[in-house]
Amino acid sequence: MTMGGRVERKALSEELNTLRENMTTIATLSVQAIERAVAGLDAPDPGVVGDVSAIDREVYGLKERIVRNCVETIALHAPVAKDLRTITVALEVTTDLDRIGRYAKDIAESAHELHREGDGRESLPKLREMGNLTVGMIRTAVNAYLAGDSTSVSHIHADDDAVDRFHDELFQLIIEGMARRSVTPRTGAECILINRYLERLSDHAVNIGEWVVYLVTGERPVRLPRRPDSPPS
Amino acid sequence: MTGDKLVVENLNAWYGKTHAVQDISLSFPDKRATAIIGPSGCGKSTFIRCLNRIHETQPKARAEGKVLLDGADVYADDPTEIRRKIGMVFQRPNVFPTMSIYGNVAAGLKLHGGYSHDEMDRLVIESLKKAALWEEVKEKLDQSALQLSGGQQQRLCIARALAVQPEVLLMDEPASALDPISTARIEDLIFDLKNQVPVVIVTHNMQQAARVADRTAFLYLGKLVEVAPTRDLFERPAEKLTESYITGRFG
Repeated sequence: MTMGGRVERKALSEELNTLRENMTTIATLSVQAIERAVAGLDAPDPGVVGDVSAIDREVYGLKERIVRNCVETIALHAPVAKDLRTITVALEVTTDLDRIGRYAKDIAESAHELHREGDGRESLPKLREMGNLTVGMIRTAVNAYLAGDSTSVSHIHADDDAVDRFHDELFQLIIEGMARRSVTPRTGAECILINRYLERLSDHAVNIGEWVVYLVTGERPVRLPRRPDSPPS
Repeated sequence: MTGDKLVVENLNAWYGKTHAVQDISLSFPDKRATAIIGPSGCGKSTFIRCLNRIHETQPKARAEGKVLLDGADVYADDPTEIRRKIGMVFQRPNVFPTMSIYGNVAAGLKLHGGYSHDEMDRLVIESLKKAALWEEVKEKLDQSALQLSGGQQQRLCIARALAVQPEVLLMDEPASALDPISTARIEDLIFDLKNQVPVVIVTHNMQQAARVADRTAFLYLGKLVEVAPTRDLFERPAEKLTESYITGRFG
């Protein structure tokens, strides 16, 4: 069966196109911010904090605009089905992207402090490795979101488990270093913070991945119960 | 869980040679509101008119298939009795212009007969209360129904339909001619009424279907495309045709 007489809902389509453009921009900026921040773990780079902070401010401003536009679109056009999912998922994903931008700024600042302190070098390669995995997850989730492709995020939970293992190992390593006094309390604290930021970033990548599945299929993936030792997010 | 009050099996309906309803099977559970949506001419009004046998009163109209009310074949019963059991409210309020407000609600009871004066008073008051009209008309029951606003007239028609204690209530675009406040009142009413009788509402207004109905059925070109819990149908319709229709993009 086909429907006669083409109707496009031009006003709504235009709103959704604008939303898509804004989501592409905010996603690109967030990925750039976290890539730049994690790269800053390698060596001192005085420009990183300023660059990432500037991107974070842009991400925040864009998020506010996206939320406002989404609310207006719901109020004016009463979207349903895929249109509604597009908007609700944008509202959710934009929050994750905003958090990614904020954590990028936090990591850049902590890395800057680490390099200034100059000790604790043994944690950096492992943090960098964990950072690469997390950035990879974010890139995968964001690309899946922008492409509307739910199949490419099928490994995201396994990657998240790997990041969690990294987190637990690194936490132990840092605590031991602090106990041995091979790192200063300041360095230890910054390493613990970066470790925690990366673990949280991985959770945001999982969130985005799950929202992509909902966007495409209309079904929310069933989540495993939170681990009993896991702190509330 | 509630059982199915009304069951439709392989229903077909024609106007002359036009096959308006094509092999529709659909069940209506008790104490639930079901919305029928679809573009103009999709057969949704014809479909509900088959449920209480009003369709067959049209010239050259006929229907085939089964409609079962509590398991009993509607087409094997007396049509007048069926129309009492399965009440109907139309798009435009069809009050009886020469009758009072009271007379309009009591009309069905009088036709049916067998009610004492006190019983009739009780049923009229009860029906007006159920239709959320009592407070507005209790001081002027003997006045003409025509002095009421469009929204009040529509609620009067609902009270009239309720007075004969129907087992199912059919509503064909009951709020399409009303302003937003009157529409909201009718929707509130449907929300309350469905706890007493199953309600089947035909509507062009998809937001209305989303607001009042537990289940929604989408008809197109005389066929049932999809029926699902309303939340599912508006969030993730199973059929592409449903998605095209509810998102307002045809072609």
